[in-house]
Amino acid sequence: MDLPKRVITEAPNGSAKPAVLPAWWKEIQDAAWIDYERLPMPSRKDERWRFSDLSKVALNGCTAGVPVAAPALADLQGYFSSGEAPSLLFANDALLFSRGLSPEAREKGVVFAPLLEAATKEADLLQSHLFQERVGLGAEKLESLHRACATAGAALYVPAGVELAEPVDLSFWMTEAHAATFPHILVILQENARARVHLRFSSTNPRGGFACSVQELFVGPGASLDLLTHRNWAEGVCSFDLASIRLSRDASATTFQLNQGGSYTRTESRSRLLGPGARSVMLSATLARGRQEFDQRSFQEHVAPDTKSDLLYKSALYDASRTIFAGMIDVDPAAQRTDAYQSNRNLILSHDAEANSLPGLEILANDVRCTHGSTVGQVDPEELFYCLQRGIPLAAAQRLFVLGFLTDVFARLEDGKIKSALTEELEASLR
Amino acid sequence: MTEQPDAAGTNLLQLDRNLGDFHYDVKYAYDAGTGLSEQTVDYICDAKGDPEWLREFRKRALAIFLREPLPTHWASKQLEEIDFSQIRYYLAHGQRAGRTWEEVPDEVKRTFERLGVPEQERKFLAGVEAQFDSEAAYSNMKDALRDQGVIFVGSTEGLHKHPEIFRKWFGKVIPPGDNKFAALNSAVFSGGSFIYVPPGLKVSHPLQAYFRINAESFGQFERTLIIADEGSEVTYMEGCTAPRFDSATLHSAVVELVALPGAKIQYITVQNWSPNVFNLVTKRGMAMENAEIRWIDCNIGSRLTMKYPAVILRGRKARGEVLSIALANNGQHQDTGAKMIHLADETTSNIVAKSISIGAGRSSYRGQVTIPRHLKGCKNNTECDALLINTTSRTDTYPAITLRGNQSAVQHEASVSKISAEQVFYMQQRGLPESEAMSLSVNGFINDLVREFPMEYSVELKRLIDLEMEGSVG
Repeated sequence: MDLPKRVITEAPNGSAKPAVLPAWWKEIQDAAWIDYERLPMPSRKDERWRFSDLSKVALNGCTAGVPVAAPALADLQGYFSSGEAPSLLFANDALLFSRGLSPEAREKGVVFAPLLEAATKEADLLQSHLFQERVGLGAEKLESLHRACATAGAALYVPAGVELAEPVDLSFWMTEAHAATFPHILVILQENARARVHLRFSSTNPRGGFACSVQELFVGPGASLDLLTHRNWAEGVCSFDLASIRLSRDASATTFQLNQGGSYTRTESRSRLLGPGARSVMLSATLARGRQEFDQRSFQEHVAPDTKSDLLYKSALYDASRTIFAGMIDVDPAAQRTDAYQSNRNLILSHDAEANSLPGLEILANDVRCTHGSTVGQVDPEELFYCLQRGIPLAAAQRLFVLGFLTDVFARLEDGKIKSALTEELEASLR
Repeated sequence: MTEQPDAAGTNLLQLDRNLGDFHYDVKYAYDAGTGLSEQTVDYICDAKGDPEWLREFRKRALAIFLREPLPTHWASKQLEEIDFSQIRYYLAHGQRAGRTWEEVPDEVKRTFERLGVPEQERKFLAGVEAQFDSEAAYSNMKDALRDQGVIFVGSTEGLHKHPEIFRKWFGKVIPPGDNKFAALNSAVFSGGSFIYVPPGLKVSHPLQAYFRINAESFGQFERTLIIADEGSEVTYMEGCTAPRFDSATLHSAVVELVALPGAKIQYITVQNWSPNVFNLVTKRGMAMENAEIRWIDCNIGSRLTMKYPAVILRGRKARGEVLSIALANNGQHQDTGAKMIHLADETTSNIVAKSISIGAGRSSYRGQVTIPRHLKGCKNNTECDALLINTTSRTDTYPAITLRGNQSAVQHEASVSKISAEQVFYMQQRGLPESEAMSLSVNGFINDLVREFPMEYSVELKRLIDLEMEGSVG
């Protein structure tokens, strides 16, 4: 694997120019680049990369700061969500479109800004939070690369007691096959704050590209965060998305991912339950097709007592696709009365698809309730037969089963509008 | 389910030639010294009168052992504490480090009382006549079965007297290159059993072996090969103990099972090594068409046990099963599990693993289930349950499941819990002391698996668990 060129750019309107970074940020970048060059490439011998097809991990020739061509710009204009929601749209790490917060939210002290802007305007806030978390579930080298290169992305800060009425929209696009993108999402919720974030990763170009995003999510005491990620990279994209959530006392977070597209997609999700009463729900629905590989690693870290985590990852596998789920529930000796659940369900629809499941538990406290389950199976032939008998063609019946299988995860979401939007989208892509 | 031996005398665990079979002739006059080198292997070959092919086999295996790194990238770092240069690899009776029963510490004697081995048996278990009695104990069975063509001998005798069967399968299920410890065993193995059951014969009584380590800083490397010919059935039971020493003792066995079409093999282990033993065992069976292999495994002793009985389901409709109980007390790590490799259509496998962690004990389940492409109608079911007794107890679960294709199904479930306070309260209300209530609750947790053990073993198991539970309450 060639090292990607290190281009740190700021690119309003798609034309790149070197980014101006504060000194502390520059320092982090330089140190990260040294780490990146020093750290070894992932190896098959590493348990955290077990079953991964490392030949698919490729960032050859991809560079950050690729200019956005005019037709793509026009397309993206169309994608930029109409409506009132505060939104930022990036392509190839350049900020193209933005819509700010409502005046009421601004008055209450909410901050929602591109990272580079926040770094100057909210320097103290960013300096104390940006790049403070490590996900560390195997992709340390990639995480360092991200730190060395990331300038695109957004910071959301919600002060104590404020509930953000509207969800915040963030989308990151790639327009060229040789583009690389390093989105960074920083969310800081103060005590009893509440926010919803919608995140979208997608491509306008037909194939290729490299993405390595990091999410740092700080959820303060009693605060609540809903984060929805919709990933739909173009064929041939190799992507990493590394997320860490810190949950303080009585904080709660629900993260949901809908995964489609890409050639190799690795997600690392770490939930750190650091305060008593913290609660984390981790949901994922994956539709794997062609020769796609989805490599999902999760870590439910119970540090404080009386914490609860609940994970449900479901995958439907077509063609010669592969999925890997490696989850770990870790319960510290102090984390008594932990309630942790982890469930991985795989539906295989073809001869050549392959599902790998590594559900894990490491329990060091005794007064706990920890369970995990993992299944790999096919559509029940009798149920299919029932459909066929009633004149439903095989393909349509199978589609129904897949839809039912995956929308089961959507059912866990509270927002009805989101639920139906996701279902519609899934239905469309199954057709 | 195994039938019970009828005569009281055969209930006792048989003694096996754990220190090598040949010393009937040579009066236990062999000691290969400490450390491992080509000379050690040559010494063992000379002592045992190994044929030339075996000498080469052992040396090839030694090279693999020396080359392979310890698997500490996934396994316990405790492995690094084994000093391979301080271990005695071959020690035949007569060289038993000058230990007599008077020298045996009280704790060792207690171990035997706990095992319920009678006074008379204690004499030969630690003494030089141990081999003697075990031979006699199963010579009864031999007499009954020999005419029918059953072979039940030590590995050395097996390879000398029945090379045509032995060589066909020896090292085929577990080649020396399988892992570092299988290579070590292949280089220096001695003792263990060789069993052949002719076609169609159902051996009604279990064949038994009892393994004991007696000398300090010793490494025991028994090698067992069981071949059940078409349509035959056999049950093999092994038990083991070792005295407690300050220095580490190493036990690294290799057990290969071959169940030819329609055959059934049941392999029962009650492992109760003393807490200084590193128990690093490779066990694997190969099941042909319609054959069945069951591993029934109970791990109570040792300091670190790493044992993942495996079944390779090679023939259509083959069945594999692992039932496992692990009990980890202070200072112990029971790293056990199971592997099911499906290689033919309509093969099914079942894994039920239960573990109990007491005090600062740690128990781990590591599993692997693989169903490759284009197989039809394969099924696996895995259940692992862990019970944690004290706040310092620890448990881990690391299963790995790979399934390809859409005509098979796998399900895995695991849970971790503690003893229900309500259950204990209920029993205490009815006048049971807390410790008894806890023991009862623990026994209830594993009861459905204990029932799979032959009667005399399950009674012993319950007693062992009660003993382990002693003082763990509160």
